[in-house]
Amino acid sequence: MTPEPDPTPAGSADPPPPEVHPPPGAEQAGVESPEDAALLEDLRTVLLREATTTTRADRQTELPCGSRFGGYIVGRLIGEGGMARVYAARDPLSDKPAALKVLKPEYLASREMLERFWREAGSMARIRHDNVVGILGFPQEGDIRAIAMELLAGRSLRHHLDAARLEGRPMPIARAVTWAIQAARGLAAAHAVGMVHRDVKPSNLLFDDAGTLKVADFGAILLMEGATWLTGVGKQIGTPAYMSPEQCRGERVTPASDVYSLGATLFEMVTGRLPFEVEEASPLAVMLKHISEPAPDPRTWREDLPRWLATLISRCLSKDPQSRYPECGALADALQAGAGGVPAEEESIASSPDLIDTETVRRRLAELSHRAIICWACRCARRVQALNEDPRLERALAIAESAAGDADADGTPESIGRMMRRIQTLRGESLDAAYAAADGLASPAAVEAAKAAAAAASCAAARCIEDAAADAAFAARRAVSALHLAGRSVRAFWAAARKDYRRLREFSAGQTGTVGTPIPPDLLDD
Amino acid sequence: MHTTQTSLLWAVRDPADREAWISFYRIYAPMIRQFARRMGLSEADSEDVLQEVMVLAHRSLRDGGYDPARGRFRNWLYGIARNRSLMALRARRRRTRVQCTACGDGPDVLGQIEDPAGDQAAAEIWRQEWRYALLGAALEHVRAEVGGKTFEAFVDHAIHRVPVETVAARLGIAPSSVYVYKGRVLEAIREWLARFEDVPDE
Repeated sequence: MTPEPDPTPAGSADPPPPEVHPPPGAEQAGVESPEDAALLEDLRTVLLREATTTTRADRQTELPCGSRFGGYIVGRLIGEGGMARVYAARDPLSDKPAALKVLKPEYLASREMLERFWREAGSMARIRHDNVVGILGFPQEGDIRAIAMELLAGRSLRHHLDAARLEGRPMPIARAVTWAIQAARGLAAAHAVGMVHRDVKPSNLLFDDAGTLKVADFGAILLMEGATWLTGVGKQIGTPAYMSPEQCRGERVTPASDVYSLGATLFEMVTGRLPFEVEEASPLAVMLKHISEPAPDPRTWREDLPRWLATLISRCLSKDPQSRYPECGALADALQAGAGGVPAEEESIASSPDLIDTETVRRRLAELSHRAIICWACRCARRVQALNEDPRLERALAIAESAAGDADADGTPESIGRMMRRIQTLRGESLDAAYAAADGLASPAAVEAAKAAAAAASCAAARCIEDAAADAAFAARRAVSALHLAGRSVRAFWAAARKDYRRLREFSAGQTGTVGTPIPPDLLDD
Repeated sequence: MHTTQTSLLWAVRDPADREAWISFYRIYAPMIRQFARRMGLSEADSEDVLQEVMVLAHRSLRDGGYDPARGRFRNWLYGIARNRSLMALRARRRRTRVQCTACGDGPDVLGQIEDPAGDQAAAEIWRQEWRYALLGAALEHVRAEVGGKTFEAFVDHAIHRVPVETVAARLGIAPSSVYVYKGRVLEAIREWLARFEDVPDE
C-alpha cells in the first residue's frame, strides 16, 4: 500500500469547493477540459463493464463472494447499475439460485424515497405470475437492503434483438408475437394490482431456461428519477428509446404508458429497428420525436408484416394514451386474437452428438452447483486426457479437481479466498501447457485435448468471478473436437457426459466422496 | 514489470518469461474477447477465438512475425483477431446451414462484414475495444500505484459524479483533496497510456 499524504489545499491551484451540490452530470468545479471529459466518459464505460467481472471489496455495500447476506450465500456479481448491484446467490435451505439486488445507500438517502420504494416493493411482491420475475423477499442486514428475486438462466430480449440485428435476419413474426403476448400478460398482472412498470424495454424482458419470457425490474425507475440514468452495465446511458410521450414530458404515467413501451419493443422485434432513430444518440432528440413525430408504419421495414399486427403496433404507439389499449391485458388479448392466423414457428433443430450447441450446454450446466459444474468439466477433459501427455496439463487438471473438492456447498470466505489465490497459477499453468502442446509436434487431437484440460482448469478457477458453466461447455466442445480428430467415438463420450450430468444433478449438497473422483480413461470406449 | 508496449512485446518472445506472458494476456485478452463478442459470436465461440488468437500471436511474436518497422502492433493484432473471428463466423454459417435448411437464405452476415463498409465497422469496434482494454489495464495499474483512498475518491467523484462534499465526508478528507486526487489519478492514467500508446517505434 502506498502511503497517502494529505495534499495541502493551501497554495494548490485547485478551486475552492462549490457551495451547493451541482446537479448530477454538471461540470463540477469547472476543471474538466473536453479532453478530460472524453477520457472520463471512456473510463466510466470501462469501470461499469469491469464491475461485472471484478469486485471492489472496498466499496461499502459490496458483498464478498462466499459471504452470507439475509440467509443467502452470495455468489458472483452479475450486474451493476446506478442504483444497485446484482449478485447471484443461493438459498442454502432450498438450494435454489436467486438474484440479490443490493441497493446502493446513496439512492436510499432520503426517508421519503425509502418509503416510496418499500411501498412499491410491497406491491411487487404481491404480483405472482408466470411472466413476471418472482420476488422472493426483502432481506436486510444493518443498513444494507436488498431485493431477492428469481435468478433466470436465460438472456434478455435485448440479447436476442442484438443477435438478430447482427445477423441481419429479422425475428420470425410468430416468435415476436408469442413473446409480446407473454410480456403483455406479465405486465397485465401488475396493472391489475395498480402498478405501472415505467421502464419496459428489451433488457428488462428476461427468459428462463425453458424459454419463457418474464418481466423484470418493476418500479426500478422510481429510484432513478433525479439520479443518473444508468440502465445497466456496459449499456449506453439512458436511451429513452422506449419511453412514452407522457413520460418524455415528465407527466403522470398510467398502464397505457407501458402499452406504449411494449409497442415500441414489439416494433423493434419485427422490424429490427426502433420506431424513432436519430443520427446521433441524443436522448433529447429521441424524446422530442416520441412527443411530436407520428410513429412510422412498421411495414416500411417489414413488408410481410400482417396488416392486423401493423395496426396493433400503431395503436400502441399513439401519442394520446386514450387511443391506445388501456392496459396490457387488452393488448395481450388483441395479440392472442390476431395470432390465431399466424403459422406457428417451426420446431427447433434436432441436435446431433457431433454438433455441440455450446449455448445450450452452458444453460443446462448453469443449473448445477459450482462443484458439479467443475466436476463435469474435469470429467470431459479427463476422457480425452489420454491423448495428451504433457505432465503440466495433468497437474492443472489435478488442481482443478481438487478445487472441485473445495467448492463445497457453503464455501466460506476463507476457502473461496484460497481458491481465488489459485486462479492465477491455474490459468497460467494450463494455458501455458495448452500452448506448449500446440507448439510441439503433438497431434492435433492432443492439442484439442490440451485445450479441454485448460478449459476445465479455468472452469475451476472461474468459480467465483466468471461464468464457470461457459468454461465447462467449452471444455466439452474441445473434448469432442479432440475425439473427432483422434477418430474415437463421440457418441460414447457424449452418452457418458450426459450420464454424468444427470448424476451430478441428482447429487445433493452435503454428500461427499464420489464427485471429484477421476474417471478411468477406458470409459472412452463403448 | 514491463513499462512500455515495446519492452513487453520484446519480453514476451522469451518462452521462459512467464511474467511477461501473463501481463500480455491481461492487457490484450479483454479486447480480443470483446471484439469477437461484438462481431456477433457467442460467448463460447469468442473464447475459442481468444484462445486461437493468443496461440497464434504468441507463436508469431516469438518467431519474429511482428515487425514494428512495418506497422503498428494494434493493426497487426487486429488482422489476426479479425481473421479468426471471420473463420468462426463462417464455421457457424456452415453449422446453421446444415442444421436449418428451412431457414432460407437470409441476408448474409459475412457478406456484410466482408464488404468494405462492414469491415470499417469492424475496425471501429476494434479501435474502441483497444482503447477500453488499455484504459482497463491503466486503471488496474494506477489503482495499485496511488492507493485505495485516492482511487476511491476518484471513482466516486469523477466517475460516479458523487458531489465533492459527500465524497470528502465519507472518506474523511478535505474537499479540495478530492480535486487533487482526481487530478493525480488522471495524470497517472495519461502517463500509463502514453507508454502503451501504440506508436511505431524508433
